[in-house]
Amino acid sequence: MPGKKARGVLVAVDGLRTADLAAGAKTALRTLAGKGGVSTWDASGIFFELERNQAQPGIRSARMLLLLYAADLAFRLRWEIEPALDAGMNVAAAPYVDTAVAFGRAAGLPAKWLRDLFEFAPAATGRHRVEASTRRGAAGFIDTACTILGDTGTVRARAAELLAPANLRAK
Amino acid sequence: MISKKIRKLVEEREHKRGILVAFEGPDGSGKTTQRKLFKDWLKQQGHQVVTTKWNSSKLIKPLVKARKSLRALSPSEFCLLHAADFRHRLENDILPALWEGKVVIADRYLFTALARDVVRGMELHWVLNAYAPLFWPDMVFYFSVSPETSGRRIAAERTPSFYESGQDITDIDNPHESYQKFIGDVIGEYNALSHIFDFMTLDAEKPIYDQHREIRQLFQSGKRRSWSEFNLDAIADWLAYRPEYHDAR
Repeated sequence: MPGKKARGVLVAVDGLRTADLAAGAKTALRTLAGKGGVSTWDASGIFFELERNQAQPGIRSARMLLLLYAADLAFRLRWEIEPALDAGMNVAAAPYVDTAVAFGRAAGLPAKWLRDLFEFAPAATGRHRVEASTRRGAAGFIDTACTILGDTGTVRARAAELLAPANLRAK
Repeated sequence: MISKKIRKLVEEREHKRGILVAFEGPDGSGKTTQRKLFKDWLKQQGHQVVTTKWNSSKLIKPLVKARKSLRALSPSEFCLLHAADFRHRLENDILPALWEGKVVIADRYLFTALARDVVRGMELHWVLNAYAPLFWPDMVFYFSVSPETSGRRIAAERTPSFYESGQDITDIDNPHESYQKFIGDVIGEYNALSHIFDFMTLDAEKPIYDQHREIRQLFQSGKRRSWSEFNLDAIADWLAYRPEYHDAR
C-alpha cells in the first residue's frame, strides 16, 4: 500500500489588484518544493452574479459584501484549496483573508467582527503581500467591492495602505 | 465609537419609530396564516405595515436559489449567504420602514438562522457574529408545534426540498423521514433559544382564531425594546450609509 502523501503548503497572497496577485502567487509557489496551484477570488461566481444583479435598488454595505466574500472563500476552501492540499499540492490563495480584512478595516468595520467572521479559514503557512502596479487586468475584490459600495476613493486608498508589503513586515 | 450626534438621533427617533415583530417557528406551524391575519388586523387599527420574509432579498435570493437547486452549499456557505440576504433586507427594507414609523412583521428572523445553522453544526457564537451587529425585534412570537405535527402538516401539502428537509446533513434519502429528524433537532434549538431570547410562545396546535386573539393581546400588552439600550450598534452601522436620515425631523 502506498504511503500517505504529505499535505501541501498553503500560502496566502494578498493585495489590491488581480494581476499583481497572480504574479505574486507564481513567485510564492516557486519558492516551494513540489507542484502547486493558485486559488483566485470569486471561484464560486457569487460576485459575478451580484454584478449582473446590480440594477436592484438599495444600498450595499461593506458587511454584506464581506459576508459574500466569506461565502466565496468557504467555497474555495472546500472545492479548491483543501482538496489540493490533501493531494500533496501547494496552494497560493490569492487573495486570502488579509485582503478582505483590509477592505473591512478601511470601511470602518471592527477588527473583532472581521477576525471572528474568517475564523473558519485555516492559517496559512506563509503570508505574502504584493505591491499595487499599473499592470492591466481584471478588477479584484477590493476594486469591485469599492465600485459596488460607491466609494469615492477613500476606502480603496486606506485598503491599499493596509495591504502594503511594508505593513506586513512591520507586524 | 458611536458619536453623540448618532446617539441623540436614535434617542429622538424612539417615540416616532415603528415596531418590529418577528414570527418564528418550524415549517408547518401556521406562521404565515397568523402573519396574514395579524397584518390585516394591524391595518384595521390604522398601522402602516411592511412584511419581510426569510431569504427574500431581490439582490441575494437569486444567488442562494441557484446554489440550492444545485445542492451545492456547505453549512458555512448556507449560513453566510443567508446572513448576507438578511443584512441586505435589514438595511434596505426593515430599518427604513421602522425609522419611518411602520410596523414590520418578519416572517422568520435571525432565530431561524440560529436554530438551523446550529443544527447544521455551526458554532452559535460564529453564527451570531455573522448576523452582528444584532438588531433585536421588539417582540418574538414563537409558534410551538411538535415535530410530529410539523411533519404531518408538511407531508399533507408537499415534499420538503433538499435543504428544508435537512438532507444535506442527515444522509437520509427519503425527504419526509429526513425532515422528521431535522425538524426535531431544529425544534430543540428553538426551545433553547426561546428561553435565552424571551420569546412569546404560542401553542400552534390550538385553533387558528384562538391563536390570533392571543397574538392581538400579546401585541397590545407587549413592551418595545429600547433602541438606545439594545440596538444602538446596529442602527449606527446602518446610519453610516444613510445620511438622508441624519436630519432628525
